[in-house]
Order: sequence, then structure tokens, then C-alpha cells
Amino acid sequence: MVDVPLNILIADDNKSDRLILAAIVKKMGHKVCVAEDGVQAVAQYHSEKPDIILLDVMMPNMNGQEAAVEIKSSAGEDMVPIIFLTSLQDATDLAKCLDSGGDDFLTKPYNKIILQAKINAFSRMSKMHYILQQQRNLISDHNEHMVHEQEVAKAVYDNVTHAGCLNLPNIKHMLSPFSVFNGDVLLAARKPSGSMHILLGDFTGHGLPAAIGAMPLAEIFYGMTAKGFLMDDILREINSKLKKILPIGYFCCVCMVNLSFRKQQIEVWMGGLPDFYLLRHDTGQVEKLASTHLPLGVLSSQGFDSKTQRYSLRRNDRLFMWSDGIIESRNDQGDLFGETRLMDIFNGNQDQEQLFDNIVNTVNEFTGESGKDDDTTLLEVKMVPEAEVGEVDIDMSRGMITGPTDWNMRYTLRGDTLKTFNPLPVMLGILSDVPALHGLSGQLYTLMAELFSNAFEHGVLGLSSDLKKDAKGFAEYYAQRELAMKSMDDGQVMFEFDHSPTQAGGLLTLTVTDSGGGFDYVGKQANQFSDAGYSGRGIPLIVSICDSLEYLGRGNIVKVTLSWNAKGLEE
Amino acid sequence: MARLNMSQIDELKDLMEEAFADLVETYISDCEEKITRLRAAIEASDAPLSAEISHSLKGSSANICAEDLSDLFKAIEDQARLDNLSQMPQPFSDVQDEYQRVKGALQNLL
Amino acid sequence: MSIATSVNGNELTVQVEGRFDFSAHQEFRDAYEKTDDGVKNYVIDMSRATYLDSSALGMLLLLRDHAGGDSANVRITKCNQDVKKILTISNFEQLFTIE
Repeated sequence: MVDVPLNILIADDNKSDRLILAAIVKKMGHKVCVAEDGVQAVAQYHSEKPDIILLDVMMPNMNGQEAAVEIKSSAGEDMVPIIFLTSLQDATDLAKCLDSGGDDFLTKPYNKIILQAKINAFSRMSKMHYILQQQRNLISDHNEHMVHEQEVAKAVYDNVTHAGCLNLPNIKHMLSPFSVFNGDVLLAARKPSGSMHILLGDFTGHGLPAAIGAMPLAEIFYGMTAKGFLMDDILREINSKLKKILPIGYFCCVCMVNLSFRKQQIEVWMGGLPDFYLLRHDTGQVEKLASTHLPLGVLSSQGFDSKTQRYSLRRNDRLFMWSDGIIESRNDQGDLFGETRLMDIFNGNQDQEQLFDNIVNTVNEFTGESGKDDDTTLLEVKMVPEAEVGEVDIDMSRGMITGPTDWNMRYTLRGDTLKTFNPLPVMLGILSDVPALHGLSGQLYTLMAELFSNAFEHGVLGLSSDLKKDAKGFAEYYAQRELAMKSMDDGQVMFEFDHSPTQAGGLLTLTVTDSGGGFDYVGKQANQFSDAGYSGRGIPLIVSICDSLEYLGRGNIVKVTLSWNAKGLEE
Repeated sequence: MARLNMSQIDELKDLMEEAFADLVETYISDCEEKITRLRAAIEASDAPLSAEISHSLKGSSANICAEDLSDLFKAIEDQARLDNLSQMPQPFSDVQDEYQRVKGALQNLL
Repeated sequence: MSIATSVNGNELTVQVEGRFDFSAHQEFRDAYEKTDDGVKNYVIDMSRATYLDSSALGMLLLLRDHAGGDSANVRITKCNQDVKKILTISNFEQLFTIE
């Protein structure tokens, strides 16, 4: 007897043959149902759901082969073994039985032993098929569930990491993740000053484990950039966060760029990424930018070095950034794409506007059908006049007249704090509590940044702004700045803010006093400060933002005013 | 002629147990009806019908261990499939005689 | 990819052969974790390593941590050009002695 009785359908038009078969099958312990022709066999298949079918070939109404075709087609992927009962001997007839979906034959006269062996074999096969089907369904259910969870997680991830300004007209980018989640991150955001921060990161590995570190990274990047923090602060914060949360051996290769449209300059920090290319528009020359730092998440805060490289850019100069997925992509022979091929694209290029697409196409053609094995990211950012990328979008949804309007504050920075601390986010935060000023935070940031750097660099450190006229002088200027910073031991810059309500709105007065020697301003009007000797101090820019500017004392005090009109703002 | 394969028929009896009588009766009534129809089909020179009936009789006779009778039906089936009913190797009465002997032998077993 | 180790006094040498990538993870870890406590200096012999990827860099950082973090004495020796290049891009000379 068998462990689990099967349900076996016997379809034979000959009653005595049916009796014999039924007797054999019942003796084995299985259940039997019968049909006398093909039409009945198909009907019994649907109503009795037999596990195995014994099917006579020659039957009235519908023969065995026709019945087999119908049964197999409605069984779909379920396994229903069909054993043909036949006394046919012609090979072509037997082949026809197999073509119609038969799995085996049993010839008359029936042999009990052989039939039992066949039923047992098919029963084992059906069981295995059933188990496989169950396991496959289980796996596919699990997979569906996991894909769903991943999709939700992916939506959250995308909201956190793709909130930036990658859609600006001076940026081209391509992100090509190896799996659902991307271990490469590409972030871009405008600063309150109108400049732009860009960050390209490549976490160790790929997929979810790599992507998960991107969330705090993006939060810090976007949050601090919007508040006006500088690259130095942001990189430090990201580094210490990643150091804290990533297991040892996991890190993020990063390049962060601060692109200033007004100064036509980029400031770059690179750790662990392959060389980037800076393409000069006029000459077509390529300058390589190399990583000078360890990746983020490796060093402790004390050991972290935030030193950056600065480059002057002209209009239409382009910076190309990529993750190592580009040069490490492989073709079907296993060869690396490599830096030489990448450089060849730049050398052979005729149209700078097409270069980005050229790189993408060349890499795709190279890898061909072989598929990729890493996340791949490519970015081109072009220096353009600020007007082409538009104003910084500031949230104006808060009311205008409420908030603090009548107050005074003094904030003085001294010694090492003056050298290392960036006071602008704090000050901007306080000014932004005045709702009308919140809407002007871009201009206010620029205003304070210019006044602070004038007070610190030209005032306290006594550097001449003459140097900043050309690219070479620029480098010299920053070298001198380093030196002066080292030798400075006292010195201070004091900001005094005064805000008072007016009939129409409010008036902000900002006085900046530095401990430096000042300069000879007597007799010069505001519009004359851009003359030789005072260029680089951003004075035209300051004047364009505020209502008035005057120098006081020995030239170490500058006072600017800015008034706002509630009605004007509401319109 | 050996009417029945005796070793096989013992096995069949063991298998069928009390249903053996039922099997024999079913076989006999089925055969009688079909042999009558077969003779009519041959006389009417209906080759396809003759082939179909003799095929069925061949199978059921083999299953009941009547090997010689099964062979006789096979000969008719072969001729019918060649559409050559007029050239029978043996007269139809041989088939009827053999059937009567098988019937007697089976009934003796009950 | 295979890993061979040898101990000479208080110095452990780990030789990496072939592609140094994630597949070496467990073997590389075993190579330094299973040596006895007397080891003070570590040498990673790259003379037979053809390539290393970012997970290999991670493994080196794990070794450095195991060897005492900032006070670790880990030398990476006999790198070929490709291996050297990857170590340089990542500025690993700030953490390891690369010979």
C-alpha cells in the first residue's frame, strides 16, 4: 500500500479492460475514477482532478490523443502525467501519442508489475514537481514582498537624496545604479549666497548597504548648505557622522565642490576618487584634479583635513566628475575601460557640448552586452553667469510683519575663533527670524560674507586686495593669507546689528568694526571704491544690495543700511 | 491451440478476487456484441469499422489471457487496415470457433 | 586569489596573490586574527597582487584597526603600478607605510 493514495483516472472504452486496470490500481491503494471515451475523460479531469491519467488511444467520440492535448493545455504548469494505454505498435503512432502530451505508454496485455512501477515513478515525479512549485511560489511571494519593501524604502531614499538642484541648465548628469539602491550619491544645492555646492560620493560596495550611508550624508549636505555653512564645516560634519555610523573598513570616496558664479571660481576637496578633468573652453586643454585626502569616514575628527584647492574658471569651462565605475567598467573580455580610453575621448572631441554624451556612449559601447558590476555616475558642471541659473529659491510662505522687529545685537569674534569659525550661518539664522529678511537671506548672506572677508582679510590680516586681479595673483593671495593667519595672535571683528521698525516696514543697520589699521577712504564716494587699489573688496556688490554704505573711523569701520517695505514685499 | 495462458490467468484471478466472475461475464457479453458487429462490418466491406472493432477485441482478449484469439483479431485488424477484407487468411468461422472455446474455458474457471 | 602568511619574530607577513577583492574577505581576516599575540609589526606583501578594489581598502583598514589603529605599524610593500595607483588615489600613505 502507498503512503498517500493518489487519484487515478482510467479512460478506456472497453469495460473489461477498465475492470482489470481498476483492480490493479485499487490493489496499490489508490483511488480510481473512470471514463468511457475522450469527452468523458476531459470532463473527469476537470471534476476529479486526478494525479495520474491512464488514457486509451482509440476511443469513440474523442480519441486519447485529442483528449491529452486538451488536458495538458488546461493543466498549465501543474504536472499531470498521462500514460497512454495501447496495443499500437507502429512507431509513428507511438510518436503521435508523445507529441500530444503523453508521458509514457503501457501496452496490452497489462502487466501489473510494470504498471505499478510506472505509477510509483510518476507519483514521485509529481510530488517533486509539487514541492518545487510550492517552494518557487514561496520564493516568489517573499521576493514580491521584499521588492515592495525596497520600493517603499527607495521612495524614502530618493526623497532624501534627490532634493537638490541637479536640474539646473549648467549641469548634466547620469546616475546608473548597479542594483535598486545606488552606492553612488550625487547632490547639488544652491547656497543662500547664490553659489552652488556639489557633492559626488561613492560608498564602499553597492546596493542597500552602500546606499544607507547616503541618507545622513544627504541630510547634512542639504541642511547645512541651506543654512549657509561653508564646505569646511559640512565636510567635517559628514566625516564625523560617517566615522561614527559606518563599520570599520567602510567609507565614502567624496568630491565636494563649491562653485561661485560671482567669483568665477571653484573650490574643491577630493578624497579617494579618480582624477577629475577640468576642460578649458578657450584652449580645449584638460587639467587634472587629483584626490589629496583620505575618503570620508576613515579619519577621526581630530585627524581630518579640510584643505581645499581653488581654481579660477572662465565662462563655459567645464568640470567633469565621475565615480570609479566609469574607468573600472569592463568589456566582455574583462578589460578595464581605463584612463587612457577616457583621455582619448577628450583628445578626439570636436564639440565640447557633445562631450558628455560622447563619454556615456563610448562607455556603453565598450561594456556592450557584458553588463556592469558597479554603480556608475557621471557629472558635468559648466561655469555660467549667475543669471543663467536664476535666483536662489527661498521659502516665502511665512508671514511678513510678524516676528522680532525692534532689537540690537553685537557679536565679536576674537583670536582662533576668528581664524577658524564661520559666523555667517549663526548670524543669518538670527536675521532670518525677521520674516521679511528671511526672504532676503541670499542677499544678506552675500552682504555679510563680503563685509566679513574685507574686515578679516584686508582689515585684521592687512592683505592687499590688489592681488586678486588675476588667476596667478589669486594663488599668491591665498598663500599670503595662510601665512598671515599663522602669525596673527590677536585681532577681532565685531558685528553690530540694529533692527528697528519703520512706518513702512523695517530698517536694518549693520556696523562691522575690525582691529586692523584701516585705509584712506576720505573723499571717496561709494561708487569710487571699485577703482584700482580697492577692487576685489566686492564693494559694488555690497552697494547693489543695501541702501547706503559709509566708512568711519580710520577706515576700520563700515556701516551699511538696508530698509524693507512690507507693502512692497506683499506685492 | 492453447486457449488461455494458464499462468497469467491465475495471476488475473488473484488480482480480481471475487470480481473475476464479473470480469468474465463482462468480457463475454462485450465479445458477443462486438463479434456480431464485426461480422456485419466485414460483410459490408466497411474496413475502418472492422479495424476499430477488431483492434478493441484484440486488446481485451489479450488482457483476459486469450492469446490465440487476440492473434486472430490482430490478423483481421491488419487486413482491415490494408483495406483488404476480401483476402482473409482464415474463414471468420475459425474466429467464432476459437471464441467459443475461450468462452468455455473461462466459464470453467468460475 | 590566495593568501599566504609567515611569522618572523614579532613580524607577520601576509602575501596576497591575484585579485585582492571581497572574495578574500574571510581568508585575509583569518590571516592576521589567527596569528599569536606576539605580533607587533605587519607587512602586506603585494608583489603577487594584480589588482585591489575598495573592499580590499576596507580590509586594510580593518587590519590597521586590529593592529592598534593610529599606533599600528603596518607596511604595504612591493606594490605593482596598478595597486600603487589605487592606494595613492585613496591617499592611504597617510595611514600606512607604503614601500
